[in-house]
Formats: sequence, structure tokens, C-alpha cells
Amino acid sequence: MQFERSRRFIDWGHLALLIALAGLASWFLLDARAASLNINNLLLVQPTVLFVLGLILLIIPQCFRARSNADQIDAPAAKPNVVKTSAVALCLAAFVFLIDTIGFDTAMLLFVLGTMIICGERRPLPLLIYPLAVTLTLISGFKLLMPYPMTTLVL
Amino acid sequence: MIDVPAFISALNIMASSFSSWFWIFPGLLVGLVFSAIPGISITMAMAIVLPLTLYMDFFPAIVFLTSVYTGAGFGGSVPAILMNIPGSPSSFATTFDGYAMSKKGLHNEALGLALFSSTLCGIFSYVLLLIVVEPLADVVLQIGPVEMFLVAVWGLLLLGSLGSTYLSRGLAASAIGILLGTVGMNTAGYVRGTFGIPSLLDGISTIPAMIGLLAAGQLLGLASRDYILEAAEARTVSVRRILAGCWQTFRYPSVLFRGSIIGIVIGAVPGVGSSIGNLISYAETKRTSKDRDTFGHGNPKGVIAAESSVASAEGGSMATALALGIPGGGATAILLAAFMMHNIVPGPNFIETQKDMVYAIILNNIAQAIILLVVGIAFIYAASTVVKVRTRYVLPAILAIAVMGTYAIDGTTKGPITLIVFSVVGFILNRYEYPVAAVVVGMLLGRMLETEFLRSYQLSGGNPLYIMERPGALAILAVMVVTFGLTAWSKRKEREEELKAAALISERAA
Repeated sequence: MQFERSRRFIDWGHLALLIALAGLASWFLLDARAASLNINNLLLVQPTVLFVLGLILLIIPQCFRARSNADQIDAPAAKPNVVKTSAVALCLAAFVFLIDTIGFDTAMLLFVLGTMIICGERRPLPLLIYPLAVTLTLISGFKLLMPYPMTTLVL
Repeated sequence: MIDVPAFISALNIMASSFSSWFWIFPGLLVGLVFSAIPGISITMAMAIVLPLTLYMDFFPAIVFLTSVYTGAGFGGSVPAILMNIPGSPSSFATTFDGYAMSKKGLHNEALGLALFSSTLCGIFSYVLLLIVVEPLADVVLQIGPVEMFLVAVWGLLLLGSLGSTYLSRGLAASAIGILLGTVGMNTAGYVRGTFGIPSLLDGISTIPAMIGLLAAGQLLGLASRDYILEAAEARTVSVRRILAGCWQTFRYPSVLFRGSIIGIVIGAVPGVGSSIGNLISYAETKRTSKDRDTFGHGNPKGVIAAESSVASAEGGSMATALALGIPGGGATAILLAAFMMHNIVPGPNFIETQKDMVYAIILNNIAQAIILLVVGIAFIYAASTVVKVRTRYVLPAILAIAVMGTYAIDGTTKGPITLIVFSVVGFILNRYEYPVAAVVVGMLLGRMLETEFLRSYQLSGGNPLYIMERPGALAILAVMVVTFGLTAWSKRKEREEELKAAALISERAA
């Protein structure tokens, strides 16, 4: 995400984050002001937003750094395997968004199976037994603990 | 200060109630296990077991619930040390040096340090509570919204200044956390930042957001590793080394004492204590240590400072609950509910008329802490084996538990969706070195900060000089300014030294 320009690096990712944060903070303030201009509404929100915006102005120069610093931060050893991490994150998101459609039990079974495969498990027996064991234990355990109903397909 | 006849009567109550002793072990175990699971809070654990106490006698019921509370006070540090995920908000500061020790293969020692500092300071706080429970009630009554607001701001400033190399990013993280905490309807009835989503009227669910923010950087990152701790020699689980860690605690009596006092005092402030005390204790220990450069890199004093304060805050929180009938947090609120279920109303009258029962409860808490010393070692040994299991098994199970835990909060998918959204936010913030812990604490305290600020404004009629009439608030403000100024100064000095060293290296290279 970084772009070399003469001897300095511009950390575009960080800059984008700061712009997004400034945008969200400003929107929050405008939304609060649209709700009411009463001091009971703005007493904490308004100064905090202004404080955040002030800090963002202070942080922006940190996005323009000397090359050696940028190199250190982007050292490959410090980075986790982004592909695996993203794949697990997607799997987790799919699990959460499928809960209402296919039930906790099936979604969890598929999530555990998928994550095991992403993390490198290839042996069929663990892939068969472990997701089943986790699903059975957690679903029955939480059914006992929780006072709320839980959508399930089989269990 | 101790009423001797009441004290002897308390010993009689304890000796004659055999069933109360029977409930200590299961209570400690429930507290340890539940608080070690990220997402399952102490409050939830106590809420689940509360109905069981309905048919018990009063004293065994309170013993069972306080045992859960005592166990949970330490349990949260186990995932904080092993996985950098605090089991409860009060274990944040434990992650700073606890996880750093784990990465060096010193997880056995770190857990031993955490257990002993937690239990020893827990015992100390209850002994102190036994002596000062009555005068403390008068002090706590002097705490108003201005003082509560200032304590919360102090904690946030400290966390913002501690959690990152850059002071500006730390403070920005705290402020963003506060703004996230004020989303929804405030106490005055104004609705902000909900995007028109009705479920956000109550605000962002803090527990799923907390797990999401912390899980992103830590749990998801585990996908690229084979084990939680990569070095094979670091994955050993040894009782001998846990005990060595326990023993090491005694080398730092001043850290233990300071943490205890901070924990008791801050813990007694209703609604603030547990999340803030550990941060203040950590910051003070770091500030006053000669080796402060090593904090955050696995300094045992960091673990001791944080844990000593967590356990002591329990004593402080219990004092407020017993002496005034004001809950310090969710867990003590459930404890008070248990009192009510047995038609007992805690408060000054309860202390006056049933002093022996108050003493019996406090003495039993001391007994629980002593038993926890033994039970805790066994629990640490069992929990530490997680480092020996491959991440391909640990990771999906923990993430599934986290999702289920967030669903269990209100039985809707709001919790799991919040978890996902904040996982992404946490991942990005971590990437650019913003301390996510500061965001989380800001979120936890945002609503309370706004409420207390509003109350202070209404009480003062908008006159800032009102603070001059509050000596307690002035004292907190003075300490806050001094500690924050010193932290900022030492941070600036550190950066200057780093820059000098870097310049020297590049000169030599040239």
C-alpha cells in the first residue's frame, strides 16, 4: 500500500484510514447536531469529535515517512499469512450470515470443517470427527446455558 | 476498627454453615472456566448460576456467588496471557506483558505470577476491607458524578498513552472508542449515529465489539501459525515453572502493595473500578520503574501490577456493594439481586444491624482466595495445554465459542454481526498501530462518561468553577495531570533517544 516518492514513503493505507475516520467523526457530529443542538445532546460528543479531528491532523504527517521506517514496518517477517487470515475471516463471516438460513448446527459444522482445511488439515478422519464433536458439544452446551431459542437444522 | 464480638459471631456463622464450604470449589471452578472463555462475562456466569441460589440458605448462596466472582477475577488473565485476548475487560493490562512473556516461552511463569499476585492482593484487600468497611462507606458517599467522570477520563488517557508507540494514535483510539460508546440514545433521550438501525438505539453491543476488535489481530492471525506459540520449546507446560512464577511474585512487594491500594480505591468507585484500576496500576508501575523500557516486552512487574489491582478492585467493589448497596458493576449487581432474593437489603443499615454477617462474607472471601491458590494452579495447568494443541483445532473451536457467546447475550444475530464488523475494524487499527484496547475501554465507558458529564453539568449549572467545591475531584484532576504529563514526557524522551540511536547507527553505516 506504500508508494515511494523521492526519499520518503507515503503510507496510502494509513492516509485512507485517517480520511475515513475524519469523515465518520464529522458525519457523527453532523448527525448529532441534526438530532438536536441542545447541550444535553452535544456536551460530550462535540468536543470529542473536535478532539479526534485535531489528533487526525497531528497524525497525518506520520503517513509521510523516511524510507527506513517504512521498510521496517513492511518487513515480510512481521506480516501474518494474509491469504489464510482473510480466508478464515471470510469463513467466519459466512458462518455468521448463514446462521439464520441453515441453522447454528450446520453453519458451525461447515465453519469448523472449512477453517480446519484452511489451516492445513488434510486427514479425512480428523476432518470428519472433530467438526462433529465441536458442533455437538457447543450446540448442546449452549442450549443448556442459554434462555433463548436457537435455530438448528438437525440438532 | 473491628467489632470483636461481631467478628467472633462471624467465625461461628462460618463454622456452623458446613454447606457454605461445600459451595466454594464449584463456585471457583465456574468462575474460572466461564471467565476464561472470551465473550462469556463474569456477569453472565453469575446470572446463569443465580437461579440455583434461590433455594439455598442466605449464607451458602452468597458464598457460592462470591466464589464465582473470585474465580472469575483471576480466570480472565489466562486467555489474556496465552492468547492476548482478555477474558474480561479488567484483564486488559495483563495482556501487555503477559502475552509478551508467553511469546518468549515464559507463559508458565506469567500465569504463576498472575495467580499469586491476584490471590495475594485479593486477600490483602479483603483484610483491609474487614477493618475499613464502615469508614469506607462515608468516603464512597462523597463520590459524585464529577469524580466518576474524572476517574474514567484518567483511565482512558492512561490507556491511550500506554497502548501505542505513538501518543497521538493512542489518544485518538480512546476518543474513537468514546464516540462509539455514545452511539444510540443517550440518557437525555437524543438519538445519534444509528444509521436508522433500531437495534443500535441501545448502543453498540460492547462484548461482541470487544471480542471482534481483539480477535481480529490475534485469533485470525493464528491461521498462519501451526501452534499458538511457534517455538517447540516454548510449548512446555510445567508445574515447576508455574510455581517458580508464583514464587517470583514475592520479589516485588512494592508493586503488589501499590497495585492493591490503587485497586481498592478505584474499585470502590461504582461503575468504573474493574476496567480502570488495572490500567492505572500498570501505568504507575511503569512510570516509577527504572526498567520502564522493558514494559510491554515481557516485564514480570507489568503482570503483577495489572493482576494485583484486578483482585483488589473486587474487594473495593464489594465494599461499595455491602456498605452502600450500590453495585460496582454487573457482577456485584447480581450479588445484590441475590441479597434481595433473600429479603436482605445491603447498605448502611445492613452493616449496622448484621455486622457479623458482613464479617462472615468478607472472611469467607479470604478463605476463597486461599483455596484459589491451589485450585488455580491445577486450572492453569489444564488451561495451558491449549498451547500444545495445533491451531487447526484450537482456532475453529474458539471462534465458534466466540460467535455462540455473542449470540448468548440477547439471543439475536446482532451480537455475531457486531463481532464480524469489529473484527475488520480491529484488523485495520492493529495494522496501523492503534491500540485496540483503548477503543474497547472507550466504548465500555463512553455511555457512562456522557451520563456523568451530563449530571456534573446539571449539578454545576454549567459553571466550571463548581469543581473548586469538590476537593476529591480536584485531587483526582491534579494526580491525572501529573501522571499524564510525566507519561507524555517520558514517551517523548524515549522517542528522542530512539531517534538519536538511529542517527548514530546510520552515521556509523555511512
